Amino acid sequence: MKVLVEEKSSVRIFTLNRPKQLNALSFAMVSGLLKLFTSCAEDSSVKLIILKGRGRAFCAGGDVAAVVRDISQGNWRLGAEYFRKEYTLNYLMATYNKPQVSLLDGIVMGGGAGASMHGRFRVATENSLFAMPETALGLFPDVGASYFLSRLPGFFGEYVGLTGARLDGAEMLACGIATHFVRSERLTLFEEALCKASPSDPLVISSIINEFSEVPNLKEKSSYHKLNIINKCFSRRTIEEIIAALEREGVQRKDDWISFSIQSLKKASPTSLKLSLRSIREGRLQGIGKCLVREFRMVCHVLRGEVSKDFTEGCRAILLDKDKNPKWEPSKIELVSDEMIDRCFSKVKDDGWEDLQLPVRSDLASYAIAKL
Amino acid sequence: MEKVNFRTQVLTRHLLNNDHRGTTATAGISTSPCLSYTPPELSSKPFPFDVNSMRKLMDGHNIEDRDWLFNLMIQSNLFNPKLRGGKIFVVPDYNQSMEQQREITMKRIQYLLDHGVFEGWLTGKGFDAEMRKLALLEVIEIFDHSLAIKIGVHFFLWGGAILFFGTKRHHDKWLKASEDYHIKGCFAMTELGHGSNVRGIETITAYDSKTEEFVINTPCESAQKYWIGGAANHATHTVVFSQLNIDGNNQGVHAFITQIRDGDGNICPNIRIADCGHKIGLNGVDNGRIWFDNVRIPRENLLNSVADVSADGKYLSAIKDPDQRFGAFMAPLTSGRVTIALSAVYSTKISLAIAIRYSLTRRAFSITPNGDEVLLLDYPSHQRRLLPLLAKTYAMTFSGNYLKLLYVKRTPQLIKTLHVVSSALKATLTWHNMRTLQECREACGGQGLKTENRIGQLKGEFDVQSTFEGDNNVLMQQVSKAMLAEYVAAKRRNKPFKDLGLEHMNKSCPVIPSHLTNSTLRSAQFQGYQLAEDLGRAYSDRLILQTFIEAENNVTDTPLKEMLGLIRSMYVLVTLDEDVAFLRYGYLTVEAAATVRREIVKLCAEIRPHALSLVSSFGIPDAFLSPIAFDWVAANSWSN
Repeated sequence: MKVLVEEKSSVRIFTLNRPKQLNALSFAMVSGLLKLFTSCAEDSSVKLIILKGRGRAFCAGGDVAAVVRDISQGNWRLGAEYFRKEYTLNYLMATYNKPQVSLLDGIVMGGGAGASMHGRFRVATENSLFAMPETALGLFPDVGASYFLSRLPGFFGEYVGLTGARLDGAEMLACGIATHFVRSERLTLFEEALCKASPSDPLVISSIINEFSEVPNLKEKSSYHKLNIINKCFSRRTIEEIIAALEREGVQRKDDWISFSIQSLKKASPTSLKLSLRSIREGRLQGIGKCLVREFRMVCHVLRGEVSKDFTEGCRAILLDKDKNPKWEPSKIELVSDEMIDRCFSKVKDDGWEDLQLPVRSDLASYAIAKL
Repeated sequence: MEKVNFRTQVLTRHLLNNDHRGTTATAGISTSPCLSYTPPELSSKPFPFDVNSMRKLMDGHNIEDRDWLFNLMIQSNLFNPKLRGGKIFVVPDYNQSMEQQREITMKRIQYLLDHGVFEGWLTGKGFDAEMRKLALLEVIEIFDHSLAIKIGVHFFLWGGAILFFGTKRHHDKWLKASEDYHIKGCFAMTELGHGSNVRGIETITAYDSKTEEFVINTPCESAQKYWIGGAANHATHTVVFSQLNIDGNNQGVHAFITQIRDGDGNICPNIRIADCGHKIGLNGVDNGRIWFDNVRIPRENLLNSVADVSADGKYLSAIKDPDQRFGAFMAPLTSGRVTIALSAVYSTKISLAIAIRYSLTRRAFSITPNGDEVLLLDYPSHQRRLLPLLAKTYAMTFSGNYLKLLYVKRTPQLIKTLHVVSSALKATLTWHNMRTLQECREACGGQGLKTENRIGQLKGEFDVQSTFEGDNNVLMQQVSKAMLAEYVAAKRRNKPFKDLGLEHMNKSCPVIPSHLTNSTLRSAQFQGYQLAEDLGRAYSDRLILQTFIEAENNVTDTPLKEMLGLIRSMYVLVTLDEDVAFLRYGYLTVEAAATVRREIVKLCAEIRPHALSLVSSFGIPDAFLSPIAFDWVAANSWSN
């Protein structure tokens, strides 16, 4: 069983159980979680959901390798179905009528962020490691990232989404990705306290977490200390202007962080960068439902490889052959045109293809809406 | 006893009344099933057309630039983000004092400046730069009218004066410095005693050939400059409009650059500045009053694109006729009318989006014993109040886009048309705005009085539009005058009408069939002729319809086209219904008028299911609406 289920009074604990693959979400796991969340929504004996991962990761992402296999076999639609299910799960979590507490004790990246960020409570530990690394893979931060990244302070969301920057637990708490920070050795006690109280009221949950939580100090070299530069550069209108602004800053002051950020941008897929920037900028102006519908269109275009085959090439270089030397096409940012990007935001012209269908929820309690 | 029994029955019903959700009575006294919020999507049909495409059609251009600027404002604390019911809204804090509002407005300008928003606004050239500038100003207007006006005065009035009244030496000296806000400009034309009648202003300027200086003077109290935006607190420079006396001859109104504050913010010598004081709105703009006490400025400060004064004091102008000279002089001021007309439409979009979304979630009175109360927008009367205004906003959007392009692509031949069109549309669109704001305020009931719900506050903020940059009534008279002059001239020449949109008058006057059918009423041809009359309002209505039809014809996407056709019909029929001129001049019989009225009710019912999609196409992000457009129960809950 790839998702373990425990019942402790009115709490349900779902544990991602694929530790050898760092709990990467397979199609079966996504389907399983969808079924579990759906049935628990109707079940009045369930008041609270806890989500965690077995092993040293919470969840390292979606099962991207499987999707790439589908594409190589000419079956992009199967890959698209994976994302359709995953985004539906993300939406269900974002609009859920019961609180979800995710214990992010370890790696939480990509699809793992999607499975936790839309829940009300996100508990980081000293082992947490967050990232949205999609631009290095030829994809773009999806799973509702255009919603939650855009709602981080200033333009930190652009920074995280475009560079694939890694954040530790303290940074996650500081910027709002995590709602609380609890030392890993206290996690078991914390879980027990939650299960014993079985609260449904978020205020009560909050007060319980507060008994175990703390506010750790940021490292001296934390990127979160660079918010001034980040806001100045990552607020620029285009990718070209962002890089130019960073380079200007780099000239004015010697800072490894600046050069590292520029490098990350230059190594990423140019098409991905432009897609991601526009996605985050549009997401900032939209609700979670619209974001997911839009991301689904985008991911289908990426899977079809109409505008660029960078997704296949990125997965090959980073995940399969592991030579870490992807050959992007278009190879330069200036060669990615607005028309190419526009296309990725439009409906897919293919028989039988449909937009992501999300149910209109009538009982959206306000606290159920992902808060950042 | 009767009353006691009745009361007991009611209480019993409450206590036993259980709910559709099946909670059991063993829970004791629990909260009764409250009136809960259901999102507008639940009572609307799935969108029949692509909302993004409709938005692109309405906004017309620079969509990504607009979204980028919305992003910039949302992400900064300077723009007053507030969390309500789980959503962030950015609305200025109108509860701040006048002084605080003025200061935060300047801080916002600095933020926008730092982030490159104003790049190219004065030094940029060409169609793309101009359109980008207008798009960004429209977005600013959606956030706050004060901010837009403060920026508009500096860039479009001060900057525009340098650009269009000045020559190369002025451009070189002032444009870049202005664009970078090294200097802050304002525009001193209006006086206490003269607003509409610019040619009658009393500030007087003479020339001193010995020192090669102009001397500007305010000869009496009625000559003080009044309502000068930016002057009271911040502006360092101004363009002064004044009568110019050369060799004892009054050469008419001219414009002069004058410094009024130094770099440290101290008022310059021989200049007095006072505050216009608190206003019913727009308190983010520091309007000032200025007196000039024989202020001396270098000869080069005369903005000399139309006329000049030589070093030895000779008046020179290529245009001999003073009326023509004044006309050429004033032509560049059209930009004000254009931006005002466009901002009026966006203001209606904000209020309609809020009011319609609210009416899709707010209920009142049940019509069946155990049924839910009825949504406001399901009442025909509520539809009749809001949906025609929605149709007018769509129509006026297309006319605004036409005006914008006419302005940006203006050629000398089109100056007269531009003047008439901009005057007609500025008046019509701003009046529509005030009417829409009032109706939307009422349609939101008590919630419309809350400042944070925006609609009511917009009334005070936008009221000035009907009288500044041209009093609406005066403007409409200018339109009528132009129509009459053209009519008379064409008749005299014995030539057909051309330009000014009077071409239809060349055909014979059509007869309106006494029996109007549904399809006739909705046909564009019928609608085109019926509005073909003359004079001010009729001119505007017909012009707006014409731009609507053109926009509709250019659309190839069928669902979009069909929706636009529906709205166009609503626009026309409502215009026919509301303007008594049609009955008065016999263009409509009493029977026909009744048919029109009935058709409007039918159209309301047809448009009602699509109301949400129509307001969603405005492209205004949720954050710039207000809490009553979303979950207003959660926004008002205790825990919030």
